[in-house]
Amino acid sequence: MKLLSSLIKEIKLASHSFYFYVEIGFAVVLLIVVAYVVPDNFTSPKNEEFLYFDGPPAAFEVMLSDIDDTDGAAEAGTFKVKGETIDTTLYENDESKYYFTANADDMMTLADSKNKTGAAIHVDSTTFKTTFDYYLQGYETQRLKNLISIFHVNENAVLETAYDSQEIRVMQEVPRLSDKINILPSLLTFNASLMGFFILAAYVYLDKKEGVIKAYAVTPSPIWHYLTSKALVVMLTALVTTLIIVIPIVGAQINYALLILLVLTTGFFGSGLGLILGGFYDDMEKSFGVLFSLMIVLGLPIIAYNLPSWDPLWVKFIPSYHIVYAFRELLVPNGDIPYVLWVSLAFTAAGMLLMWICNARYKRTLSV
Amino acid sequence: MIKVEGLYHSYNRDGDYAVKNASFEVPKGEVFGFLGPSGAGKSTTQGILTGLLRLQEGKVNVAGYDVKELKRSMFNKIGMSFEQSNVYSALTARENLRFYSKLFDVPTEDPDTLLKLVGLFDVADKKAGEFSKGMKHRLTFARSMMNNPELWFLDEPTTGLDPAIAATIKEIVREKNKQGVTIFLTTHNMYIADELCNRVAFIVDGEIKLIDSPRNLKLQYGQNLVDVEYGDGGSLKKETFSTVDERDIKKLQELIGRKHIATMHTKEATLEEIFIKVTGRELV
Ligand SMILES: Nc1ncnc2c1ncn2[C@@H]1O[C@H](COP(=O)(O)OP(=O)(O)O)[C@@H](O)[C@H]1O
Ligand SMILES: [Mg+2]
Repeated sequence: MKLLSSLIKEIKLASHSFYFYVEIGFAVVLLIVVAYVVPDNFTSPKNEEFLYFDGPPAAFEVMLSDIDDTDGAAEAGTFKVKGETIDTTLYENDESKYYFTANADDMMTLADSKNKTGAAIHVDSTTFKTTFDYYLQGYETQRLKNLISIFHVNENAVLETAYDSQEIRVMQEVPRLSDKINILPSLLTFNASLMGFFILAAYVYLDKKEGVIKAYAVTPSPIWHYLTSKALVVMLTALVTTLIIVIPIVGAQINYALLILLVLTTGFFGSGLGLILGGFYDDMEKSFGVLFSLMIVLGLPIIAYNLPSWDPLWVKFIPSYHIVYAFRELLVPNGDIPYVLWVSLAFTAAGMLLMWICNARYKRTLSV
Repeated sequence: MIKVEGLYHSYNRDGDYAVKNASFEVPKGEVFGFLGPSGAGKSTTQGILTGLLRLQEGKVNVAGYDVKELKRSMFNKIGMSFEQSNVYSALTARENLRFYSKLFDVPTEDPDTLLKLVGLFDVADKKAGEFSKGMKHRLTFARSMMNNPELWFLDEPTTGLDPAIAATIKEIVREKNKQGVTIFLTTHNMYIADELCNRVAFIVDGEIKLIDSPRNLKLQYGQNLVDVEYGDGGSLKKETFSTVDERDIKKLQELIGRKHIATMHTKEATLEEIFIKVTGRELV
């Protein structure tokens, strides 16, 4: 009963507070960005190739049929390099743009200015023997150079037959999320856990400034009621802001019971961290260094998640790593439910430990 | 109601004591004043009695509870008004009191009754953040009566308030005491101590120098002072002498022999003068 009235008071206080609206506003902004700005899938720009062809028209025809231009017609492609105009003929298919230059020098100038690889293709008009001269930038890996060297040892037709006969087995099926959905785990982790941690510390500093914790301490209500009601408010805010983003973007494609569980448990942990920070420092300025460092450390897994090539082992020991991946498991079809449950349980336990520390800490930091 | 024995408190536990070997008892129904200059250790003592500060050394019993093993139920019986007002700025005066009332297990006062008592009823729906310092103080004061405490702690209840408000507060304190409430009052204002307290403790540098009723103190020290007005080279001079201090007696005798005495009478000392005499310190 006392806990309930503390909670109602905290909700009321939160609804009067600037931070609460910042959070809601932030969630709405994220929603708009994800819904309207992030495409379903990021399209990577088309590959551009700069080529010079030197050979009989018949051979060029063969090449064009390989390129298979989307509209079957050449376009003019004009470049300006150091004040000079270079005209090219552009053929384009779904994957690449092929710019044919009038001479080898133009090809080299363009390849150089665009930091691309260029090639000159010579076809002997009588023997139809084909040679390729590649112009590299110089920083290509040895592997790429090797690949280019062996690429033409055989006839195209032979190579193609070899490709087709190769069997590719997928060892593990990694479900792919659309790019729009794929950014949600980072946003939700940031929104639910990291924001909560910051906001809770801010709420506590506000209370400290007003000295109201002292007034609370001389009532029969235990300090843990105070702490719990603060945490509950932050958890509820995390839930509301999460749903603001998830419902419009994901719709019915997610298990909401598990989502709520995950948001509340990780929000509980984040609140615990915020309360610890609130308990050990007197105001925002004094805690700023620690607060900021913690935000960065907890943010690292989000970076690791978005940069597949950077995923060092130690990042897995930062708690927020598991929040990001648990959100991901909720979003992929047939995700790893036991993992989500396990993460929720672990964060509940860690949150309780933090609360227990806070309970002792807040009792000791009261003053007259 | 309160029993304190051998109380010590050091904030940094470094042997630098804010309270040293304090012992006193407050019987039920008494208004007990803690009088001393600021920094003397009054709030610290009160903080220990109300469980805000952890008891380090000594025996403290408050309202039948041993403060060493604090039980939350003790707070149903006590009320505490803070020196620095501490209310939620974002909530109205009424909301502040209403939420506070929900934190007790005993019947509580109606918030509006309390607001009327301290003259804040007209602004009950105003946010406390918009209040003046004095209004916030009155709200903090009103809040401390929420649970109808048997034992009421008041830390500098009138300091910094304008005289009219201070008078109201004093009146409420007297009224509560008439109803049987025991009051522990901390102040550096001797008038308050004089007017309200049945007994006062003089505290300086964390040590209690003396405990007695203002009346006894005046009887004991008051008659020992003599105000003398005398002519000195055409002008009238005024001096106060003690009738117990050897040097003062000598000076007084010389004065009577050599000068023309205009007026001379024993006077009742103020609590402040007595404080200075006993402790050698001013009350600021
Ligand atoms: N939180 C604290 N930490 C360290 N020293 C303190 C603290 N609060 C008070 N003190 C010191 O303890 C002494 C007594 O202070 P206090 O009890 O507030 O005096 P009073 O209420 O009589 O003005 C002072 O010297 C003060 O500086
Ligand atoms: Mg004080």
